[in-house]
Amino acid sequence: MIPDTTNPCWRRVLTSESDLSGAVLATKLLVTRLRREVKARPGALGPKIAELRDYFEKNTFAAKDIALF
Amino acid sequence: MKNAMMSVAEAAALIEAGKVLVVAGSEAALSQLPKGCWIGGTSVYFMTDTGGRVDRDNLFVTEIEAAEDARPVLYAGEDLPSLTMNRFDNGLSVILIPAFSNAHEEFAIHGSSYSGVFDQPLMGWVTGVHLDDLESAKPKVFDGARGMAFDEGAMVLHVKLRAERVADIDILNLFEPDQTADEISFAGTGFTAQTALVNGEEVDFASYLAEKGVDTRCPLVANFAGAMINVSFQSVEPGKPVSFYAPVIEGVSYRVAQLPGDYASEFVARAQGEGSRELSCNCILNYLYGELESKTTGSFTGPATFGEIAYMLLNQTMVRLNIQAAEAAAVA
Repeated sequence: MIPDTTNPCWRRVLTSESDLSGAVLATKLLVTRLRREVKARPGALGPKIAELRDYFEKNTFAAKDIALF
Repeated sequence: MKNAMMSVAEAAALIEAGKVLVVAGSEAALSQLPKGCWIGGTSVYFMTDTGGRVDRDNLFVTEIEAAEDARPVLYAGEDLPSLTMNRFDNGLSVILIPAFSNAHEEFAIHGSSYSGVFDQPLMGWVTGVHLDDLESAKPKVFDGARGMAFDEGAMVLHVKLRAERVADIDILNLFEPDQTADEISFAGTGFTAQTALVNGEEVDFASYLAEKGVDTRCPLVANFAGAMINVSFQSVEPGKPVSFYAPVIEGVSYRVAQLPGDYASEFVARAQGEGSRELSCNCILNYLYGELESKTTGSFTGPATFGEIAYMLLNQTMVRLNIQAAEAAAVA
């Protein structure tokens, strides 16, 4: 079950610099890009959370990474 | 997957048997292959099971046995961002891009923003030529389905995996940032930089590197949420912009890496798994700086390339693609 976009885990992971060493490579690279975009444009946080959640909807193999957020 | 160095005749026999292949070799060797379900890229540097070597006659062939279907597609220019469209549902894509092409630059700078690029494994490399031939030959990619070669565009093999198989990509980077080194960032994204922000202060980057005596065999390294991502130095000349083999990215914090120990020993120690059954490539700079000729990197074999791709362009990194049973992947 992928958490809803209102779950604080999404904001937490995209507005921090937390290490995701245990995550798959795709998750690390995507989160890094989204963090950079949110930092440059904080108003874009909502769409970026939606993009990250959408990634997990499509990639069940990566779902375990959400526990790291 | 099965990996092997083989003759043109042996590779041709696999193609004629209907196998799905990714092939690396010289332009002369690749040009002799028949049409079929394969893509190819030029390279004459290889890591083989008997050691690194230059080979202009034979081909490095990876057979994707788990493929249920496959479709080579050339994305020639403006359609490059659409390479993430029309993929197979349970699949992966192998991508080959000629070095120094417009596609190389476009993918390097914008690839990680392509819609859905992280939704399926995308692995491959930047094709090259012998370093003695840089002035006379162009890196190429081959569309095996049409029997054509190109020096521009991205050649992609979209692969449909059998239902019970899944693919995953990982990287092995010997370089770690030197945490005592200065923090370096850039005001723009690109393959060159005249200036950099060093600990927040703008400097002429070439002068800074010279004054610091930086060993430019060591790349700049950034921490991408736990993945160490390199940008390698291409040239550093006084008064000129510093050039790189991959773009530095605006807003990313880099440090110069520490020199690793003996490259071959480090790869052997750190490359876990059965490399002979994975699609992998390593960087030409690791081959050169690590003096890998005649040395092995454990069981991992493949071309030594002008850039590696694991969703995005990488430098001085080994990239590996593994296909395994979905059940095993779920347990891992």
